[in-house]
Amino acid sequence: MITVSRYLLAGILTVYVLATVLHIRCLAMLRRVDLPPVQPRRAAVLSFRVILTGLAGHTGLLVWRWLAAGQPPVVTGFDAMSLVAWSAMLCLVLFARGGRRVALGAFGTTLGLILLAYAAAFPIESRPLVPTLQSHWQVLRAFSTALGSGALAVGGAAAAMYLLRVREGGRTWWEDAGLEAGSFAAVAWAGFAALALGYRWLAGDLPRVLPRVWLTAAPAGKYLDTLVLALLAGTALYGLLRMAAGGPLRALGSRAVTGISPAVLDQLSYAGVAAGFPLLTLGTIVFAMLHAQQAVGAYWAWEPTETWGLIAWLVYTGYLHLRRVHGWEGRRTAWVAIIAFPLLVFALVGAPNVLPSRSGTAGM
Amino acid sequence: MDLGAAAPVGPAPAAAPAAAAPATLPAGAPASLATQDRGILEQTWDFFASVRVAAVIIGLIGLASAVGTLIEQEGAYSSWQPPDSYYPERYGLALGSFLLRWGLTQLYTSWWYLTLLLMLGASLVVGSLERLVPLWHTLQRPNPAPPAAFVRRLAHGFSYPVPRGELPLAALSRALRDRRYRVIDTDGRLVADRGRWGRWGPYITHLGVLLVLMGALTRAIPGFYFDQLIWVRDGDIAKVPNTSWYVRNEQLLLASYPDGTPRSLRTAVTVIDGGAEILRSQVAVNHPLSYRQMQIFQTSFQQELGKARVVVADRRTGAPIGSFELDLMQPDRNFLVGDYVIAIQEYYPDFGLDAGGKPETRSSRVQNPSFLLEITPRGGTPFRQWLFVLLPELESDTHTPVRFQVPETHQVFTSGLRVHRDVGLPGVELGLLLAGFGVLLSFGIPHRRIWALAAGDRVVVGAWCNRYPGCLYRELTALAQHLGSASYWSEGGAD
Repeated sequence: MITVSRYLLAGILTVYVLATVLHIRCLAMLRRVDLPPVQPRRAAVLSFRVILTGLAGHTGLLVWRWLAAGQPPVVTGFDAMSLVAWSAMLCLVLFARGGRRVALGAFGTTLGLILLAYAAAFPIESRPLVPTLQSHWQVLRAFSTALGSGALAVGGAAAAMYLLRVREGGRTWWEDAGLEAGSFAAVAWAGFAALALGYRWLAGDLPRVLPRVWLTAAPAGKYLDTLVLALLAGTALYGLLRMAAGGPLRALGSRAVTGISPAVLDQLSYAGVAAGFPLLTLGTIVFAMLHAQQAVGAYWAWEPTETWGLIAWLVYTGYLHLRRVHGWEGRRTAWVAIIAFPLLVFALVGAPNVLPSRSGTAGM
Repeated sequence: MDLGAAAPVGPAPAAAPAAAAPATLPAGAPASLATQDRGILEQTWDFFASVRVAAVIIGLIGLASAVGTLIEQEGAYSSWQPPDSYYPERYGLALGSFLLRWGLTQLYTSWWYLTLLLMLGASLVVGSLERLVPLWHTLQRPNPAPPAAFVRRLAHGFSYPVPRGELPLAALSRALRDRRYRVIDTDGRLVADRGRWGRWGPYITHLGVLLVLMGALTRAIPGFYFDQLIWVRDGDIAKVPNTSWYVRNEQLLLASYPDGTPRSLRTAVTVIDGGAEILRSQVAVNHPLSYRQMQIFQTSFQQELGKARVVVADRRTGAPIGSFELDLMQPDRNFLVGDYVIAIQEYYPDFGLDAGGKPETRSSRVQNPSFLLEITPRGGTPFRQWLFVLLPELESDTHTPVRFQVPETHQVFTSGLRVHRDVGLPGVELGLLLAGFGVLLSFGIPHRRIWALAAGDRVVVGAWCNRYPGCLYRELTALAQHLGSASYWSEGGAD
């Protein structure tokens, strides 16, 4: 099962890389005036078909893991992030209008690629279901949360595109700094995922960069190490990209979205959040509480995992209220949609690993 | 989350109900005008009606919750120390005292966190009520005749030539009814809508969240909430606290996967009520037992040493003299082994040393059973010797005539059962279902509204949707085509 999973995963990652490259190539073609317009259109359709191929393979991987393990793939960090990546790609396919939204495709495939590569940084072996997880509510909870997160990821990507698009008009120094910091964070995430992926496949486990003194038995030392590693990989990759782009990455990003109506990007960002929020509500609040009540008789125990799910949910709730009732849109909501997504990822794979559980029952 | 008056529909449909209900000030009235002669009660109402305030409360709850996961909470840290000494040591004197002073060590039950939750509840009630009445009017009594300019200004629309020999709106009205719209058609004006249920979604969610908060609040009412962990050993009977019945642990059943991960954790139990065995059942993780309004959950288990066989050997020759069986739960006081009478002087089931270096037992559980024995040889003088069941080779005095070996011990399982009653639970569960149902409604059913009016030889149709602009695109283009229109307009609708 593991070998088949590895090969499938390698294949899907390759297809996603190809999709990303094709989309970026297509964006570059759209900028050229000397080409007949039919050429970039064909390239866009081709890129879209490559996404579809990758998504089909990814669906195969999910089904394979379910069948081979004899249990729903909801236990490990790999399963969680892989499902988020799958959902993000699905949402992208639904939003991309058959490839006509090339820039969204480029940002979305990059995001999906990072999400899946990050998933692959976790051990691919599935773990058996401990007693507390043997529940239909738990399966529903994990699936809803991950599927909702994928749509929210695309919402966040569209929000970033919006901010890059409107950057020139009414620019402020903090917005530029924020966008550059965001670009750096995304690159660092990608760099870390690539590094972890390479090490996991070639060497087995991640190297330790901090001096031994820091690497105590406590998990904190290990995670600090991971952070340092991510920053190192990120800085290197960021430097390379910046040299290649010949300027700050935000300028590169802005070039990629020129000519797109900001209103469309704003609406796309909202559509992503609107598609993801109901699933997030069901996953992190409704099913999570019903499951906790049935499993151990406490629907809410302030476990770090459920608390961080609540925090991410609260931020998206705030977003929707400010947008729908208070009339916020554009820049302000875009920033909220971007900041909320890392919180969600932390709730999915960070909090269960990094923060100590309040009761001993979490591991059962 | 969604309000007719604030949406791009403009003032037309909402203006009539606001004017018709002058008893309450319109929601959009300027604050400076409103605060002049308003009492504290009305100001409080306005405060909680504000979405900005609600967003701030939501943000503060999120922030506080995040802080709570970063500070070790009382009852969750792994130390024997009481909070008053643990926190200053863990976080430093200043920060530790600060955390204790402001309830950050029991953050989720601190007065200020509960106040935030109450404020959220107030905001849910007031904010919903404030918007429900206008929404009711908007949905139930839509304004069929908004100004013509309003219809033309809508983000989507088209116009078509008035068909000959027919009332101008008849074809449109038929087409909309076919598409399951509710159509109100009077005096050459038409208003139609579909998907009104979606508009109630946010308020159903609010009601659900409110029920969850209220259900959790019922715990404060005496007798409504009971929760206690009981430990029952295999074969033992325990009184279920706060009831008149008993539960007997027949056997704890533990299964593991090949790699050692727990696979299932169950306890076979018998409920004994009024002296009779009422039912035999199993309590398992995810499968609680319900009996007489009490629920029993399997939460954990412990392994304890139940019995040990102790061999007494001659220290000099190493030859065994004899052995005895030691019940670690309730040991006998005296044993006769060969020529020795062994009497238990002191027993520490969970041996440790206190601050003064004196032996003590850390708990009543049999974790590290240790005995101080007085041994009297026949005709000799008695001497004292320690027996550490887990580490018999550990000796304080190596000059005594005998030494001990413990060749076998028996494990006893103790089941951790959570006895639980929560009268507010049905409210919480209903609230969760409503909240889930509400979000599905609000994001799954877009509310579409269409106005039309005859202007000269053309009919002008304008449409609005409370979700993304694209949600009307397909339907309206089909409608325009059906009615022979070539003038579809849409602001960003295709995207």
